[in-house]
Amino acid sequence: MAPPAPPPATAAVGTELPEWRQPITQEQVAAYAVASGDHNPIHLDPEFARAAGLGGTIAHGMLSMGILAAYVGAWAGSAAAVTDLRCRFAGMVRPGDTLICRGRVAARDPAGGTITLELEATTESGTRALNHASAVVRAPAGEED
Amino acid sequence: MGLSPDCVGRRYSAPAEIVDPARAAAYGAALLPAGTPDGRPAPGGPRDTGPLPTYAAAYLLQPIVTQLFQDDSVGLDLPRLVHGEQSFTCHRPLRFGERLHPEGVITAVETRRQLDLLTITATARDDAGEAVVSGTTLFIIRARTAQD
Repeated sequence: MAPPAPPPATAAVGTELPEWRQPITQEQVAAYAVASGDHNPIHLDPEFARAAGLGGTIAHGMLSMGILAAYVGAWAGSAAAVTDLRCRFAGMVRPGDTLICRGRVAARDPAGGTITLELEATTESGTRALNHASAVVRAPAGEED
Repeated sequence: MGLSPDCVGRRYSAPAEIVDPARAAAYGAALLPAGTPDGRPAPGGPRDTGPLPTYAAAYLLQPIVTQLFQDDSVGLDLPRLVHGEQSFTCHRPLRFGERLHPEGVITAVETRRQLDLLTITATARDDAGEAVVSGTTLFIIRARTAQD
């Protein structure tokens, strides 16, 4: 098991967050459709997705982004500590893939009390799912560099 | 360009939404059905102080984008549309139980090579009218070809 990452209070610029591996299942995609309200059939109906030229259902891009948000929120200690999150949807993720999230502390702003993370999400086969991804995390009060 | 150039500035709004901890927990469970690798529930559930920023997909983005997609005058070619980029910014911590008012505005349309690009910014405001969460979405619409 990988050692735990230093928490936001002590993580220096360059610190790598331990990667997460999240298997993606069709049941999960269906649950995400209900939770988000996005019932586009390319995520839910294999026949529809094949007819659309996708070769089968694909996961919502926002599901991958949500997992990346959870990755950051878990490291930060609270979802509410994540004040900004952005990404580009670079490639498709399919049920059966495993999404791998990685992050690195890119900058600290002690005056503003924030930490900026560089992030990415790929599949086990190497497909870039999310790139140009970053997050801003509120650092614990009283923290000094 | 298939997009109507005069759609920039067009505004949409949706009914107010309460930030529901049970719904946020269901959202988190959909992201991480087995919880985090160290056995905790997904952040942003009832035990947390508020939801994940991406939970705005449920109470802000989806209601606004649904209206955009139903607005035929924009000229979106929906079968050729993909979600290109997304950002969320929390202007202040979001609390469970508070009421938010979703609104959106088309901020840009342009054509690059064979692609139409549409940017819409959605904002959730509190009862006082203050922005709580904003999300900016880039949709990419591929041009139709002779084979289509």
